[in-house]
Amino acid sequence: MHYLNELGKYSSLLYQALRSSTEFSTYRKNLFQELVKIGYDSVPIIMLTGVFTGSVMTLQSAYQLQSAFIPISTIGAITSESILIELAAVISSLVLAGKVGARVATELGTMRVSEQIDALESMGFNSVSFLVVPRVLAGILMFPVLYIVASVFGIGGGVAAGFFSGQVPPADFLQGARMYFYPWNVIFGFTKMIVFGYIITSVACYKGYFARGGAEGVGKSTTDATVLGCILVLLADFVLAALLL
Amino acid sequence: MKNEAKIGITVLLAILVAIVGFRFMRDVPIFRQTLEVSAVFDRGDGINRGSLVNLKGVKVGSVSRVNLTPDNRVRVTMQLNEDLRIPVNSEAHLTSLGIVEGKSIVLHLGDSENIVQYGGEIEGVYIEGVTEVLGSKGEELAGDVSASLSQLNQFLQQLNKTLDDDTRQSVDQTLKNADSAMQTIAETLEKNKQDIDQAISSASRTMMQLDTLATDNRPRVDSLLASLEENVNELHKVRTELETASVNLNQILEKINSGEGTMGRLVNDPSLYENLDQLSKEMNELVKGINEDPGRYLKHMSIIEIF
Repeated sequence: MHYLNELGKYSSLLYQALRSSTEFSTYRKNLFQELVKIGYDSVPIIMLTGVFTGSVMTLQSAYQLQSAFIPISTIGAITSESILIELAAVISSLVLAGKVGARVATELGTMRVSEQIDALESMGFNSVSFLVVPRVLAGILMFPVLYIVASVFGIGGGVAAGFFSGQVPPADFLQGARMYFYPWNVIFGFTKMIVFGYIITSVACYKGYFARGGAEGVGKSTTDATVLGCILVLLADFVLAALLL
Repeated sequence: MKNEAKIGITVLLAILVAIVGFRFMRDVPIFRQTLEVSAVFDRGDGINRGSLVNLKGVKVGSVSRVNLTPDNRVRVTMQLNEDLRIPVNSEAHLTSLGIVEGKSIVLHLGDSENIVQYGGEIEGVYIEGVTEVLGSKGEELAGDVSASLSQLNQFLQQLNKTLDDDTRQSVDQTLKNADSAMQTIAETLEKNKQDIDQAISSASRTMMQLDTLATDNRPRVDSLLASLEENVNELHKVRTELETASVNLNQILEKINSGEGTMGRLVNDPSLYENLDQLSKEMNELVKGINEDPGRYLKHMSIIEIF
């Protein structure tokens, strides 16, 4: 019953957000701020995540495929395909659940417990349009951009790791990567990232918007937003794979 | 920097990187056009998008599309380096580069003057790999092997039958005989051991004597060889002199032949001979005249004057 309640509150919040998404002038300034915070500011950490994901993937595949009967280019194929389909989207999203989700939940939670949201409402502002819409929209718009960054740096990191460890020459790596490169995988990755962006930001907004109980409540809402975001990302990953592949 | 600018830069760079990366992964040259050429094969086993296209072992492009034609053959479309010039009668072989390696396309250039244009088509030849040949020949091979094995089996059975007790006994006997023969040889050797020893030692002595002989006479042999060598050298000198002499003689003979010098004229000019001939005739007549009438020639000569 409790979970149904939560789901109902979440749905009504997002319905409100959807209805007020036409009031562009209300959230225009906030949207750009959020785009910078979610997209631009996250680029360095996503680069780092991508490089390490790719290089670890390469080294571990090379370690596992030490057999004379497997062409060395297979390592490139495995690494690049795993990155494009799965790792660039999911690992980045898990990192962003911590970075973006926690921040959004804390911001909104603090505003809630310090009654700033009530103040907005009493001034006649549509608080959902002003606070929730720009954050969710920025997530949907910026996560695919971060997917590009993660993929490129992931595959680049894979090539570099193969080259510097001396186990996979770049030419072999790229040959394998190209042999199994299907554009649909990239589209699938983009789709995942849009969904994940939506989930992380909307869950964080929901948890923050309905925070209760002072500083402790804000902390709880932040934790909830991060944990729930991660779990829902993994769940959505599974559902998307089952539906689209 | 304003927020809008930051977002703009991020998004623009991301889109640019995405397009470049996409083209890169499709193995389409990022800033260049390609030469698209297709080939039709009977089968397309093992060929995929991204498979390599080789020309004399050098990668010149990759496969961009594989699809079936309406008459159930396989059309493979390749993206090749733009500056590649491929004669229209070239062939594309679908083959495997190694046992482990996947399939790839190997171009064999033709000798035509005409060059394939963008979107053109060349001949495709499907070449069976080792595994396929083994697969199709495997049954035959297995049949052969099994037939050989059954024959071998039969042979062994026959051998077993032939080797009945008598034969076995005779084989046994033969082996025993051989054994006793060996024993006899061993005994003989044992008996004659001293003689053999002596023979070997005397042979060894003879060899030693030969050796000392050779050592003692060494200086003499040496000097002999030295003098022989001198003689040979002399002979060599003589030969050279003879050679020069014969050359000179040749020259002289040549001169004589060509009528140069006294000898030449003597040999080649018949006038001297004719003069001599004439002279001798006249002398004959003179002598005849004197014989017939000596007084006529001698009348002016008194004896005193003569003596």
